[in-house]
Amino acid sequence: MSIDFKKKLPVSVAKPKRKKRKVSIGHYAVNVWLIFWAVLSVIPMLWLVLAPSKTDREVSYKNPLSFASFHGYVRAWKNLQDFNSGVLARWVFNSLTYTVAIVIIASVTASLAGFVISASKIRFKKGFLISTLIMMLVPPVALVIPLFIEMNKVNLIDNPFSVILISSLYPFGAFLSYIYYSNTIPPEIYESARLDGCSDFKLYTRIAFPLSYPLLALLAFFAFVGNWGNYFMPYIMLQSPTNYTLPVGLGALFFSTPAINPGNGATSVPILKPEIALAGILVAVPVMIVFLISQKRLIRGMLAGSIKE
Amino acid sequence: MSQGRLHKPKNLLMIVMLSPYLLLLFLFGVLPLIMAVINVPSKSPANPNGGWHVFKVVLNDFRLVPAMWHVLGFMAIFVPLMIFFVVAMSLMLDANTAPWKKYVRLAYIVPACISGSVAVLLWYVLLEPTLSPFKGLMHWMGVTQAIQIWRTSNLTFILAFMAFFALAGQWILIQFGSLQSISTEVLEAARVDGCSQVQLALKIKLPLIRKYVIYMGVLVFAGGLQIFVEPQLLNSSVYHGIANQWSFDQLSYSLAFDNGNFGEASALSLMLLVPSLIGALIVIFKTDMFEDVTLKSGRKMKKEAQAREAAQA
Amino acid sequence: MLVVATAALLGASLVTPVATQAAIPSITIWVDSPRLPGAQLYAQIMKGKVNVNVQLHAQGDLVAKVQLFNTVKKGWPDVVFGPPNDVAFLKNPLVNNALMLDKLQSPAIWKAFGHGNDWCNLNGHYYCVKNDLAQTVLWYNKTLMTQFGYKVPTTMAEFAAIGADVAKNHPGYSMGPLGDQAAYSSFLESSQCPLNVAKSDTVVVINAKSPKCTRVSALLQPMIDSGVLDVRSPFDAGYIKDVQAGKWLMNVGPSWWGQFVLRPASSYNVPAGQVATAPMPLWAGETKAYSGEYGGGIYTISPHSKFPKEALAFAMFMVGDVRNLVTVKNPDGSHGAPTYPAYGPGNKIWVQAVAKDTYYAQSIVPALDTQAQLIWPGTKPVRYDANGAWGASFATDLAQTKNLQHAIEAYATYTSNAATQVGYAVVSK
Repeated sequence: MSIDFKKKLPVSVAKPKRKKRKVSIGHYAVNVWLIFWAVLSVIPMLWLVLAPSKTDREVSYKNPLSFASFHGYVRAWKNLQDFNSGVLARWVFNSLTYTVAIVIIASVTASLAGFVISASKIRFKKGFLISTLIMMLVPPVALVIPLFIEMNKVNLIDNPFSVILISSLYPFGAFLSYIYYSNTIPPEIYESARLDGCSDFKLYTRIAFPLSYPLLALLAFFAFVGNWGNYFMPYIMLQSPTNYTLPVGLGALFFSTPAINPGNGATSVPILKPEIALAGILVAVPVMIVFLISQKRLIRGMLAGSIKE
Repeated sequence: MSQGRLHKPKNLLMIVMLSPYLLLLFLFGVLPLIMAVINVPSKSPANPNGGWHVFKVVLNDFRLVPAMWHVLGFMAIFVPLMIFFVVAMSLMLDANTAPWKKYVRLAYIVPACISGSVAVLLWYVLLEPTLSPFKGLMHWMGVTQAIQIWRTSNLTFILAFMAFFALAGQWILIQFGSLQSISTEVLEAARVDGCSQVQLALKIKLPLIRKYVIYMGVLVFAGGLQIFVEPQLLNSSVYHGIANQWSFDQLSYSLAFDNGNFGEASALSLMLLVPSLIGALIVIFKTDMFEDVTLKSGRKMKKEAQAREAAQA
Repeated sequence: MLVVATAALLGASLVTPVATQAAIPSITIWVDSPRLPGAQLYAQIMKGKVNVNVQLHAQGDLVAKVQLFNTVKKGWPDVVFGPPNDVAFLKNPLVNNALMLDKLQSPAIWKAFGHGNDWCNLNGHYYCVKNDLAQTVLWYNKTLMTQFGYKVPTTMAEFAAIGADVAKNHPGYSMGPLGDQAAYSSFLESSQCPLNVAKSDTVVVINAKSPKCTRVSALLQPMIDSGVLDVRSPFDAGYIKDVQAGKWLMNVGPSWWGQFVLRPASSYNVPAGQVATAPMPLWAGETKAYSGEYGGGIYTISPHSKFPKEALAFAMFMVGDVRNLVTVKNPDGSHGAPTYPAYGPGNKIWVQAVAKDTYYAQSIVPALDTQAQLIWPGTKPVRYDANGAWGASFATDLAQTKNLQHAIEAYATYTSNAATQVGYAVVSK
């Protein structure tokens, strides 16, 4: 008999109606605490969003959470655009293209790897998992110089592909993928499908792939969030400012202008706190959008229905 | 059921599907690691003849012990805070459903959107009693000047809080997600038995997500051990020199890039790998994360399935 | 993609003059944002003669990346603008990224620097070109000084006397911050306190207990105790807020102080027509009123550069050409290089423009010129981060103990360790 695996699909189960119960003080306290922490989480972002409306002087003088004028945004934006002949737009473009490329390559390779390890009869499963765990734990600082040498050997220094390829190694994703497939598709299903004469190809296309959307969404989410704000590896690999991603460019902006330390530069370059804050909003907004889109998937979790004992 | 016999034509597809990941793993994971290890006994100014006693040179570096104290202090605050807070918050979120909770969850992940130099600017402002939105609270606590906060000795607290603030929200969401996957039959059964919310949370839900909490603990531990970007950025910008080679990774970076001492840097990184590996081994052997699907043979799983069916009968 | 990658690997040039007739020299320049307008202007001017690739980089980038370039043996930029202490690090044979420049231009040009390029003179040879001098002078608020009836101090004793009077009669007014590098450049260096006196590549004098250091603590401690001298950094937001309320009386500060710190609305915001400069006060028993130096960037040229002469020409343009010093347009609308040029002829051009600046109560140039010749030659570039060490040790200690001598000794301990770590022997004389 073939097990109807579709019935085992992760489905959000509506919590059954509870009988009305007394709402306790503890209940209120918990809710208040949850809301309090939510407000606390949002305040820094609020400061960031409101800062460009003020001039640098007003940032110190006025209420930190006050809105000064819309013209502030225009002025800050103009200063950012003027900076180094509008290189900021280039940085945004670079960040978008590199990150999307990384997300695609990383998600696809990691999901395939997880599937293979959970579904196939290849022998070195444990070795794979252990190596994956190790790679997640190695300090990236240790690998910087060897990676730089490697990239140099193939002439990819200061080339976006150096960042894209290196960042596409996604052990966390492979691990996640393995857990997902293992929990969603018990081996009995593969066994019975194989007994029915399914080829490996069909195993993937008919069984695994249709169930992969939640996983791929999750992988894409984590890959995006992890790589969009990545600073160190792109800083090392990319030399020309026109190749920088937004975080690296922001770092260069931050260090080479008198945003914080006027001794470092001159007022001849009008990049101060409001401008840096506006650039910061640019970095934060795409991640916020991705979060908003994916948060439902995150809640469903990739483990839905799996915890039963 | 045949076990482990490679059917060559069939397995080919599997290998092909695995190979892109394996290629990336080899090129950008294994190979650089091997190169780093080979680099360890290389010649350098502090270790002119090369050799494996570079580990001794690392241990004698006057910045190593302070870095150790810094990182240990940081971890002592950061790791328990993360685990406790994340678990508590996700359990609290899960206590009951309410429509506004969706927005609360969204609010929690807002801090994670801010990273790198923007985070440094933000924290410079947040902890500056003249500029901060929280200056009322600070003045009430008697903190009126930045120099009361921003000093090297306070960095363990500042950085722990920075890291916590940036990461907690994401993990709350993840653990909340794992709580959602607890089957409702279990919860209903417990509630019928008369469990209170608190008992439900601590005695039923928490043990069921135990392995995910441990997994988070290991990742948080390893990540904490390798703290680098935040103190490095702080050090080279706003408060110049406040975090000079403050963490292990910063020291390793400085050895490689300031002193040209790649051997020592690699040696230090390898030394850092050891506690992380121990953490990984804990995950592998102390949780049943791996047991579930790798080590159990097919026969064992069939037995368990039969046992489950029998229990439900 | 590979073509793009290879083209992007500028540093050493890819085309030698002999290869084809149309080939021209090609240099890569790394500058930070204040220097960017001048560099871009230079690229424009040299179009067709030299291929100039201008790249914006933070000042610390070269030191961060030079090891990578050395490992793969390519990628070095030809000429880089950086912080003054870097030349020791770059000159180190293990790093080898500061070219000896003596032979690249005529001795007459080197002489025209006067003392301006002394910082770059190591072991009798020039390893960099100094962009600007950051000599300290006494900046004061002329209006307030007249109002309070103070005479401009010419000795440190008079400075301290004014400090005592301010504490008694005009509390709340500031005579200067001591955090960051301010204490060192304003007072310790002028007192010739030996804290980073590199005698050679292997010996450095660090002695916080020298009488030349302790006399500074003795003189200034009462002013710290009374609050007239502030323990915070000059850029501390709290300090800025305190002095913005018209409470800035005077302080010993570098040549760029007026333009970058006193003038901007987001900084001390001193109104126009009040700021003036005077030469450094003299320490008791001395004949020369030395200045310290708080910054003063340099241009270094890579020994791997294929066109060192062209690279040096760029540096000399930045320090001597009127187009960079006076006319180039900056993003905020102002014109010209923002700092006091180290190169004699360039300096003459620059000061003429600055002398016409109506912001100041009177011309600030005479004091700047006097002190430009009196920068204490004791401080030398060293291979450890002497400047970062102020933040790492001194600032915290001073904020906590409020005791200047204690903080100086904390600094000395820290830098002694750092110096030993990179191969110096630390001596006390």
